[in-house]
Amino acid sequence: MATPQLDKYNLSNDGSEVIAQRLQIDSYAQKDRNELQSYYSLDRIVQFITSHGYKRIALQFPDSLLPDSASLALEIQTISPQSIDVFILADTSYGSCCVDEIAASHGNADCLIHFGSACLSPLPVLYVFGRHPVDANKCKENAVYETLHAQYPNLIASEIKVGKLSAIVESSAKLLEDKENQSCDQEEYGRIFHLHEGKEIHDYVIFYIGSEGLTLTNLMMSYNKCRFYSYNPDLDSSRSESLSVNKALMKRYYLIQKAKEALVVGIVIGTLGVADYLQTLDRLKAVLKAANKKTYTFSVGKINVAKLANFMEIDVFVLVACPENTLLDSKEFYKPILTPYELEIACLKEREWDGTYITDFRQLLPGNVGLSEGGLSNLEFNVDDERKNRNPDYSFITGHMQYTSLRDDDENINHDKQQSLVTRDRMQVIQHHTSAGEFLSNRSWKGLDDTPDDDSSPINVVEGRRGIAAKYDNENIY
Amino acid sequence: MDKRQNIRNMSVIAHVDHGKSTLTDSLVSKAGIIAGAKAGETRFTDTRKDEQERCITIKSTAISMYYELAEKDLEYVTQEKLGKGFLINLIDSPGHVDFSSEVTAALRVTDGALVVVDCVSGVCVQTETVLRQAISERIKPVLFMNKMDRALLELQLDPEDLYQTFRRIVENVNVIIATYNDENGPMGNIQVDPSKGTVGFGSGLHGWAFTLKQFGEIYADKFKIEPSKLMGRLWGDNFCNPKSRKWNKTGGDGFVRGFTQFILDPIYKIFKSVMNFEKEKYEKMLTQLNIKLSVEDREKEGKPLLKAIMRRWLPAGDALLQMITIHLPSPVTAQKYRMEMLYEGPHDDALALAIKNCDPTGHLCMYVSKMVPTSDRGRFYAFGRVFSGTVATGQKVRIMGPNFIPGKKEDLYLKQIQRTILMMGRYIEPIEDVPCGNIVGLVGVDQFLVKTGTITTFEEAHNLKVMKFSVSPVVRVAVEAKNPSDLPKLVEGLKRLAKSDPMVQCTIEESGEHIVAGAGELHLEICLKDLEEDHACIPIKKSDPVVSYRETVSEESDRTCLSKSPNKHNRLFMRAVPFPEGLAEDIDKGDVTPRGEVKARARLLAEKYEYDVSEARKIWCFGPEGNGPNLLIDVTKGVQYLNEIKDSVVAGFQWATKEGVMCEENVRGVRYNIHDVTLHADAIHRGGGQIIPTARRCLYACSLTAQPRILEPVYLVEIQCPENAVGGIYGVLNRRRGHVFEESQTPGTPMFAVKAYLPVNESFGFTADLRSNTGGQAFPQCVFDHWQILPGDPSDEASKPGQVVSTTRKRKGLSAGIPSLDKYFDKL
Repeated sequence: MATPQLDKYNLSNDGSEVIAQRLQIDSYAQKDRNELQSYYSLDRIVQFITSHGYKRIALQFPDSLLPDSASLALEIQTISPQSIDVFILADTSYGSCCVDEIAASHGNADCLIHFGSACLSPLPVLYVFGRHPVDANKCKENAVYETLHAQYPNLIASEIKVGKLSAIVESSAKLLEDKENQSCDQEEYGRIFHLHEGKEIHDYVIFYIGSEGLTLTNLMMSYNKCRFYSYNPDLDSSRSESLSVNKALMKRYYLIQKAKEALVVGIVIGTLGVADYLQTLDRLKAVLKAANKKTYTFSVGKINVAKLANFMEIDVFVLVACPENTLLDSKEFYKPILTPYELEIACLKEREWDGTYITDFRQLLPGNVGLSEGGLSNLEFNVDDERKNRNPDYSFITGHMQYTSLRDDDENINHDKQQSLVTRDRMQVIQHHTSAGEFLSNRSWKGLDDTPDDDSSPINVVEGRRGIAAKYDNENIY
Repeated sequence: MDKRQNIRNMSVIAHVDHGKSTLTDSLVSKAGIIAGAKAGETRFTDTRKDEQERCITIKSTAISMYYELAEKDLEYVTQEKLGKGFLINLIDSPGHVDFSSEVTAALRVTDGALVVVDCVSGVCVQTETVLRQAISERIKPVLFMNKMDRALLELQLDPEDLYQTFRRIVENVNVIIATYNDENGPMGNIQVDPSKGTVGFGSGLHGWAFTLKQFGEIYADKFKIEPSKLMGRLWGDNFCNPKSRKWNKTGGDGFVRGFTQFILDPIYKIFKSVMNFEKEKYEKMLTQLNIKLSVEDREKEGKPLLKAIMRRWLPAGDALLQMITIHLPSPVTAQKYRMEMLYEGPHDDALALAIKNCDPTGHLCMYVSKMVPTSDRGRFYAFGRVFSGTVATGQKVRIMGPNFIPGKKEDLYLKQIQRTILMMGRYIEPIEDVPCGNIVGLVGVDQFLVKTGTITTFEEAHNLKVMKFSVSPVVRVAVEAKNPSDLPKLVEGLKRLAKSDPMVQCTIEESGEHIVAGAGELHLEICLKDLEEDHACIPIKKSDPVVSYRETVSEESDRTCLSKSPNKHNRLFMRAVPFPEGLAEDIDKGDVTPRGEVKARARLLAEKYEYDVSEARKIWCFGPEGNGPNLLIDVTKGVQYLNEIKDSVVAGFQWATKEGVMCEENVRGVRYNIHDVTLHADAIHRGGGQIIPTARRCLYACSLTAQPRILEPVYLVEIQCPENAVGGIYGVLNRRRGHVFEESQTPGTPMFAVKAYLPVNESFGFTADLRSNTGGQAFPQCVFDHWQILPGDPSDEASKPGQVVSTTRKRKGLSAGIPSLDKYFDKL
């Protein structure tokens, strides 16, 4: 919660590496005062603070904007007419796009101001995106825009939804001001799309203004039927985006296949800042129970390879996180990580893979009809139906027949052997057939051996190594 | 059916186009299923439309026939017998090498094999392959020389030459048998010998055939010698002077070989007279031979007449069925020596004994060797052989898949058999129960098995051995539905396809592509057609064939590689070493396996590959999938807590060998040595999370520092062609990086046999290319043979392996270029 020490040894950046967000030192780093003023719309911030009379202000920065944080905090303090306490939240618990409400309340903050790109998960916060100088005319002059404009006279713009508390929003998309005939508003991923009557989003071509990043990827996956063009104001270049969405979707499809065959699923909490995450957690548990898979719930803070690899018995993980963080490229991970939507496809028969994609888990919850398109989401499922489906299935991964759920022991296979009382020496052991137990029995290392060798005499006590594990005293390294 | 002693389960096997299906027709016609006149043209066992159109057998088909042996012939049957009625279950198998998995499946459920050889082209590659398979499954072979009509009519060989051709074929076959069978082994002497009656001659197309037994009987009265004795005289160097009726062994003036004199001579005479339209001559012979033709047949001339005469004189059905019933073993006989080959469990448990004695009252044990599609789309009959006990409708059984391990529950299902049926070529017939020794189809177990499995009622049963195929699925295509929303249908279709063919593999790759892998281009073509038309019923897009590669190393790592765990508190030190030549193949074959006794394995490795014995005992695991051709060996000395991290390192090893560092293909032929490990003293800091990714990184670093190489699959191609086409073959092979290593003339024919190695990658369109360059005279057969290093450094983008790496990475959606070493290699 203090200004982070940029000690590259202590604060090793592998946490951010593994989460596939490469630390980019922003080109706007270390701005002078004027730049700060305009980039972060200081006036707006100060106005926001004074108008509400907040005393303790938490500022949340993503890693890329951290260089500005100290000066910005000072600046706010000096500009502000009242005396206020400003403190900085760095090193967020999950992703820097998510608002870290919990951390802010640890500091008894009255309000939280979030800087940098945000996933716009609905929480009452002031978002300051940073005002990128976008030369509207330049952008318009750009070839792609021209062609687009020619082809599609009815351009619409998306508007970022305004939260209850946030006063002003700098929408980078505001520039296309061709908003005729808007009548049917659609709201997704914190954005409002003003659509023409009778049209759906996938009837449109999407023109994205901004540099590439998780936001764009997320939008492209979600609206995978739309064509995408992007304009990067920094480089003043535009291009047709072809992140080969199809390939990306197929990769996700492979993960769904894996999830189908998984017997033990770990649910990883990747956010505390997004509304309804608890309901989603409950729903996931219910879905997995219906599919007769075992679940464990994990909360590990920021996810990295090492943390999740500690749980070897888990077959797949489901990450409940904000839409932009939920799509993890889990190549480096020992076990794949899925989104709640993918898990539902894998577990519920009613949900079929048809190329649409939902990254916002709230759309899966029942009662969110307003958010969904085409009645795809919030399927109610029938627990009994799911349970009946008990035959093994052909696995495309191993090429064998495989049960897609844990087996009840009603089939009595080797019943007497698996579950009866086994007398062994002085101990009585009841062997339960559980997946965790099975996993353990397959390990070669099962803990310290409690039966000492017959001939072993007590071993003399010897002096061990000294120092810390990174460098013991007897080692000559570094 | 209950008389187990009188059952003959047999398969018909041969090289492609040697006339199996045609010959089978004459047997079927004997059983009265199709009209005799049509025999040889119907190809009854080619049930599929495409089989009929292409004139090639694709799936093996079973037919059951009933045959009564004449009283006097019964005494030839040396095994146990019960009455004169015999049940013959015959399986006609495909000859094309791409479908040889069907042959394997057929061999498993039969006890005898009718090996068909085209006497014009002689013993071919596929003949040898199937014969070898038959012998390794302990199947007793009998030989049939087919297409004698061609030898007589087209080649116009004179009798002595024809005899020599026959003799050579018999010898060739016996050489193969001798190579793969031990004469003192449990099967005893299974060499084929015309004088014993285990070799048949004839023409499947014309529907006539004979063994020496037939002629022995014809002449027995004349010479007043017992037929069995006479048979000995009718083959080999036995010469007879027709005037003095004396026999000798050396020939000489006036002496003619028994075979030519008494067998070939009359046949030649008939052929000559009929083809030359010498009506008087052949009419006379007909009366002499006591052949009565129908009025219709009498009016025929030339070939049709010849066919009619020969069929009347030497009906193929009789000769063959006699040969089959007399010389092929019954299940009772065969299972005595086949049990130890079949059963994985201890050879003295209840089930083993029941199989050995073919006991219908014992525990049920049945092997399902393939799945046969039913008229009900998506369902299959499980086709297989009952080895012991009796299988009945409604019976509750244990269904064990190939991955079942006794005592565990994986791949084990307890279910009822819905129905048992008999499969009769194109028809099926429901039946109450089927005792052991029979071939049967089951309804209702297809949901639990992919391709094969064991069905039993014995609680402690082990599996019957999984079949070993002589080909492997090396040609792969990615398929997708033309209409993306048809994906669920495609998935269903692929599941069905995977079941319906013993060889095809349907998998999904990490990139999300659905891959169909087959043994060859033709096999894949048929599979995809089936998928599109029968299984998925949707239009399908397929990619160009993709070859799967392997990653390996060519030298020992130039340094000991260190990787640190994410918390920097654990260090692994390892090195990669390439396998000595032959070890990877030994692991593939199962000579060196992860199961089995550690000491014996270590001794073998030490003797054969000069591994240090103590090191060879410390093999941690095989990989990928726990049984692949890579080893992880612990060569550390006195490392604390090492046992604790073994599971984590092994997990990392499985991961790293499944997805190699260069382009995420499987790794092959690499031994990784763990040299040293430093671990954090607290267990929590050396958990799986710290070790698994570190082990993977360290193994990657090892591979990168050991001159990594790409392995490509190579076909063994055998091409048969006339001499003038040989030049064209060389041209085509050279263009495709192939090289010829053997070239020989088939003795007695103008044909040349060329053997060559050809990279699979270059084989697409090879057949067509070869045909166009040789005027359609050369016929290639490609079988996967071995892996070979693709010369060049993969890190050089311009080199051939470099291109392979970059295209593979691109296809899999990976970042371009092999990752750099510093990503995996840590400094101290």
